[in-house]
Order: sequence, then structure tokens, then C-alpha cells
Amino acid sequence: MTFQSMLSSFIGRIVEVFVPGSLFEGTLTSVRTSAIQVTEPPIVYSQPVVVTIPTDNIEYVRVLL
Amino acid sequence: MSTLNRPLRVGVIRAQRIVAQNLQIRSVGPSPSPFPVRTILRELRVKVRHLEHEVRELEHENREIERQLHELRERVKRLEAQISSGQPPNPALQALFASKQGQVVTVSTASGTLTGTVTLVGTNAVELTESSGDILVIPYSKITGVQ
Repeated sequence: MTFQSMLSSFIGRIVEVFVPGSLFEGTLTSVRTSAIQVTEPPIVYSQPVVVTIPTDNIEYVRVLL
Repeated sequence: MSTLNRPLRVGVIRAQRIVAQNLQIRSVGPSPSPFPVRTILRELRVKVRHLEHEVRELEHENREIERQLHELRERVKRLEAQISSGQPPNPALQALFASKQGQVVTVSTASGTLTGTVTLVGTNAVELTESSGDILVIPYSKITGVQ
């Protein structure tokens, strides 16, 4: 079981991704070997933002209940 | 009419009439071949058996090499995945968390201190469940301390 395979089981869940100096919150939509994608909810009248985060930058991921 | 007083070695006699006081006919068998066919055949059979044995040994070696090649390819694939993910395995931390499975631990990272129950131990990351029910997935490479 690897970091990626652990995260893969949470695709579709709301997550907080902590990287040095930043926090991304949204729906986990994709997990690949070198990066994950989180779709942040749209701010009023705008489109959702897809954030790609390199896995080697991730400090930890919190999967919200 | 011809008269013969000595042994005659022939393959075929064509005669209308044979007059003899003492006639002995015997087969002396086939003449020896100038080529030792049976010996050559026996040697060839032995060689064939040796070659069949060598082929079986080579097939066995080939299967072993293929098995090792498959293992090495899998290892290269894993190493490539580790390099591209930037998260190498950490057998020491893996063993530590495995020994604390089901227990509450406090993990320090550069982004903060996290506390939760060890629920899943991987090769390069651990999963903790916080008291709130939230799940934390932490790569070993980002852990600075475990209590």
C-alpha cells in the first residue's frame, strides 16, 4: 500500500491538502504517481478551480468525515 | 559346360543344369559394409541424448533468467514510481507504525503536530484516524517525529 493507493480510495471525498505554506481544500478528483488533483468549490459566479499538486510537496492530506 | 573344383563365391548362379558329385550351397551372409552404420547410428543416438539434455538445461536456465528479469523489471518500476512520487519507502517507520497499529500516536511534520489512531500502514505513508473521524494520510518523508 502506497501513499497514492491510500489516496485513491478517497477520490470523490472532500480533502484538505497541506503543502509548505499553503492549504488546498476541495474534492479529490485524481491521483497519479507524481501529482494529485483537487477541485476547489466555485466562488460565487465563477467556475470550479482544479488545482494540481505535486505529490512530493504534500505534507499530509486530511480526508474530512 | 564348365567344370569347377574350387569354392565359388557368387551372389547369383544362372545355369540350366548343374552336375555335381558333391554340391554344397551355403549362405555366408551379407558382406560387411565398408561404413560402420550401426556404430555411427549408436554414436548419433548418444549425441542426440546429450543434446536433448543440454536443451532441457538451457530451457531451465532460460526460465530462471526470465523470472529474474521479471523481478528486476518490477523493481525498476517500483523505483521509478518512488522517484517520480518523491516518496521513498521507509521500512523503519513502517515497522514502527505497524507495531502501533490501533494505538493513538502523535506525529510531527513541518506543517504541524497531528494525533490519531494508526489505522493503515503503507510502505511510504501512514493513515491515522483523528478523534473527529477525519482521516489523515501522511507520507513518511514528511514526518519529523513520532510519539
